[in-house]
Amino acid sequence: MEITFESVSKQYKKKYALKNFTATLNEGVYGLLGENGAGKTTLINTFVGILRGDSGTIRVDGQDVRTLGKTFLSQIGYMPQYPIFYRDFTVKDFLLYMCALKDIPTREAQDRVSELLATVNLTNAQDKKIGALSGGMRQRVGIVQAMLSDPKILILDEPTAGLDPSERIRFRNLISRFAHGRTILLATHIVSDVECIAREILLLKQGTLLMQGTPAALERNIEGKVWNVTAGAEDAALLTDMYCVSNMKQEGEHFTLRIVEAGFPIKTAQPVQPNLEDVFLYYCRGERHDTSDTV
Amino acid sequence: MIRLIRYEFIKQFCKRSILALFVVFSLANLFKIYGEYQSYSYLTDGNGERSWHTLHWQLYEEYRGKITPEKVERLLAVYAPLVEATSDMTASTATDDPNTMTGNLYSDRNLLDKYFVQPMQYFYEYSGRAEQVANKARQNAALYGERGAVYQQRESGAIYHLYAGRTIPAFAYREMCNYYLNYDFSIVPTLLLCLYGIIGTFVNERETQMEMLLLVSPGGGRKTTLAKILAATLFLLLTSLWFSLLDLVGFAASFQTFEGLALPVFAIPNFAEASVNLSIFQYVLLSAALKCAGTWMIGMLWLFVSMFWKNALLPFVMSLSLCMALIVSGAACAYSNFFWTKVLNPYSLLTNRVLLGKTEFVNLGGFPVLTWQAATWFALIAGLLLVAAIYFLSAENCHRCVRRAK
Repeated sequence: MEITFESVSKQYKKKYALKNFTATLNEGVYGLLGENGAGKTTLINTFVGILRGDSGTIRVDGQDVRTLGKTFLSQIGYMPQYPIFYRDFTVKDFLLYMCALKDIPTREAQDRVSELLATVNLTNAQDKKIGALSGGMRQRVGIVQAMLSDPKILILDEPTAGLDPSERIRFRNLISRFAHGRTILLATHIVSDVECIAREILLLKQGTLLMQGTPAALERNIEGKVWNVTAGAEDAALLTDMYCVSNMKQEGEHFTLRIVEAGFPIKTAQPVQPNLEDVFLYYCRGERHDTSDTV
Repeated sequence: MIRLIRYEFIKQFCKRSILALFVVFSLANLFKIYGEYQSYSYLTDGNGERSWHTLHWQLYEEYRGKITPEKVERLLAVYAPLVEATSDMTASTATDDPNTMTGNLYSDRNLLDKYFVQPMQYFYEYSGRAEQVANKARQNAALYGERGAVYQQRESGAIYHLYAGRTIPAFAYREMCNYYLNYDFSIVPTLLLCLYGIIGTFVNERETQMEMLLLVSPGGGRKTTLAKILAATLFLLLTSLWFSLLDLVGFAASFQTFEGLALPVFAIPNFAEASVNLSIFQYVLLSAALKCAGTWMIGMLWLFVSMFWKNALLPFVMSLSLCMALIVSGAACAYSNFFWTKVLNPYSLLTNRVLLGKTEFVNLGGFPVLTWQAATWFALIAGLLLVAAIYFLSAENCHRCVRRAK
């Protein structure tokens, strides 16, 4: 399955929330990375039809999604940002209701719900009210409802927001498990969510696609632009004000700073291997890049 | 679609808070009905040998059924001496007089007067009064016909057909029906419960972020909106029917009888000029149906108001204010001669005796239409227009809209 975005734009009043977004997605996990307000949710909402784009075309296997209508909707699984669902419903009833919404026959729905609940380890919680679930459990219910119709396209909008580290790791593993044979678009501003599992990263800033590429390729792109600097407390504070610091670790009376900067910040700076967080910081908070680029 | 309606119904209305309100309001209504019985009936004096309650039902067995000259004579044979003995107010006021039924002469006379003589006299004389109205209407129709006043001629003709042949041939106990037909309290819990249930229908989806999920589901969007409208309709009808049934059962239980339901509705003094020729039981069914129509229309109005807001508070306040305005204006215009104000106010369908208890017509294209019929048509048409507005103004997936446009 190939999803193509061709110059998709969306404006709110005079401000672009999405500007000439062009990208192609195939099978695998795609991390949609950007700061809050970068346009991730707007892109997703335009893709799934919640919002109407001002211009541009979105195609699935060459066909304009606007001509697919219900067929397109039956191919996508969607998990919105901060889902609360219905507090008074039990997990199982909620999922059966979602099956009804997705036109899944009753008997098939029962089997599918049981199977997916077992996959996400929620079988024991199926009779619990949704209002009584923890954040992590609710997110797992969220991904189950998105997977009910066995969709070819899975869209997850900030799925790990508000989760503790262990729940986040569990959720990440779950996404990897569901990735086979489908396209997953995962929007987040938490780099570690997509660093290990994404086939490609799409970096968004102010509605514009800055870069698209594999995590390794993006990291290669900023090689020689990430530095380790050891400094005293006063100098560390000064460097933090002057440069983009992605990490700061205290070792005794000294601090080791990880600085993202095109040229070396001070003479004693040592170049280090970049990671995806550095890439995110370099492009989103560091230098300005106004044109799209595919690595 | 049935599955969706079922889930929408469960989602919106099978909540603990709503069920709790149902129970509380039902109990409050039953207490209120029992209070009416205790306050207004004279048959609440227990089951003693000389109590009105016991004596009434003993005498009732004697006089119930077809009104015959023999029964009237028998009643007057007991009643006339009592009237004579008590007319100058000098009779004994003792309450243990062994020569009386209740222990007191005045009490005997009052018992017979209130529960037998007055009703039987009303029943007996009603056919004559109705015949007078019918004859006068026929004469008027002829007169208007001569003068070319077509609408008035039709109206008089309709009155003639309505009143001709009206008669109350049988005597029956009517006190329970009288208080039941004039009871309005249950409208309040019906409206409050419906408002509480309905107002969250669309708002809850926004508050729980489910609106987006619904939009991207094949069965979401307008299909879900239709399911919501139908589920809300079901809830409104069930609530309205429940309280109509509860009123009847509550009154029957309090008065300990279903007697009188077979009487024609005009056997109740307030309904002497009723616009329908139905038995009280048939009237009860019609009244329940009219209440359903009125509740449904008001419910659709609330649903429409609520669909534009992100949280429930403001639409709740607005809908409650709207409801109060309808109630106040409905009460103010209940007995006015501006019949259209009753027709256009759905609240009059809830207190439908203001429509059914009097023969009133509105002019629709030169034809006289009874106010209750016009009000029902108005509520149904307005309700359907609101349904159409809710359906077409509700959010739909953009991709679907484009496909339809093509």
